Amino acid sequence: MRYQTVPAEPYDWPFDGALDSATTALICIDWQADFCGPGGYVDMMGYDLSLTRAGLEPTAAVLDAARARGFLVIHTREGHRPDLSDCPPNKLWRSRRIGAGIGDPGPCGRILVRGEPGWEIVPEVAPIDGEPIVDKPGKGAFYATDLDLLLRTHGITHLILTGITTDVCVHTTMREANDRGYECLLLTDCTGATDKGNYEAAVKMVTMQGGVFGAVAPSSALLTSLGAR
Amino acid sequence: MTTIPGTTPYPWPWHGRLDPARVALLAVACPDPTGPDQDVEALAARVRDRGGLIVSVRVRAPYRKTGLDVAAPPTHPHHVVRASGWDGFHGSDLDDVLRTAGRDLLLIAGCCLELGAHSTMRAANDRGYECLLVADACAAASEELRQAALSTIEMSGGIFGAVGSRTAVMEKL
Repeated sequence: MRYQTVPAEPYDWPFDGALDSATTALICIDWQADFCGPGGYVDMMGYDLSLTRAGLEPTAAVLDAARARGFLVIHTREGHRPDLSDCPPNKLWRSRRIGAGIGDPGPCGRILVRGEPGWEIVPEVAPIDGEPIVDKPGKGAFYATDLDLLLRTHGITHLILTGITTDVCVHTTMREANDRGYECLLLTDCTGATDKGNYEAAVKMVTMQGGVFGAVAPSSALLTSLGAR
Repeated sequence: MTTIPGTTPYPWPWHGRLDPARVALLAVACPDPTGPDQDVEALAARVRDRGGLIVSVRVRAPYRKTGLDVAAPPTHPHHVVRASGWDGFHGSDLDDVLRTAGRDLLLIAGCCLELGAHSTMRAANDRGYECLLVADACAAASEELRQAALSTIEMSGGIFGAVGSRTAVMEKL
């Protein structure tokens, strides 16, 4: 099913006019308790959770619309093996130094460890049966995962991105996707960062040079194109 | 313990073992409207002189063209790698070059800070490399984006590594 292009910055998305449920996937990045839940990794570092939680409600609305129209929905989770053998020593050292050590016990279980409560995706945007979940050890969802293979196998060429945090995992994944030729749209109200200024700059970076990493739009623009509002 | 003075948010490298034989300077070359950067050249000369590896990382716009030419800093590199995107690791042999040479401490410089340098630093960090972005050896599109690009690195205890200055690196090496 084809839909109208989405009014976006710096160009109406997608550039080739092909907003098609057969070739477009919705990627929901790291909506885990560790990044937006009380007692998780981001909370333990002392950051304001309201900034990373702000995108939950609009993302839930986009998920509803995308699922109803048959778009592929893929979720990602950052986390490490329980023995931390896939956690680079510098990443481990830095996390301990700031008081949120990966693998250390916290209110949500062991921080950033697969299978722990903090690693789970929060209920507001939780995956439903049949939606692929990609587990990643790093910030980028393409590195050391099968995401690229999943997208190719489904014939996906266009990505709509939501998730947290904007300047870290979302931006890294958007950069990786763009390098691989995926046409990307970031939904500006469906993402957040631990710092508002860094969120704003991350959104702006996408739009430099005519859309160096793709385009950005509010979710309302996408929902209108999908006829969902 | 040997670290570079004044790096943020932590003394770099994390383990305190600054061994030039483990250091590589990644001179990232994006489409650069300002031309070659003398600051990168001076840094490269010092790093090379002390036994560091110099890798010219040529990145380019993927998929859709931006219409700008790619300019490479004149660093007489040991190696030139060509990526097929903004991330110097994507579609290049950069990872092999670094592993083969035993280099896991990366100094990142070049243009543009928020494009090729940042994408390459993000990819390197995910691969376990210990990265220092040499802030005054990087050109950015604007001061606003420069500050945000540096702040992003420094958040969460150094989410992609650390930030330092060219003079501090040159002094310590």
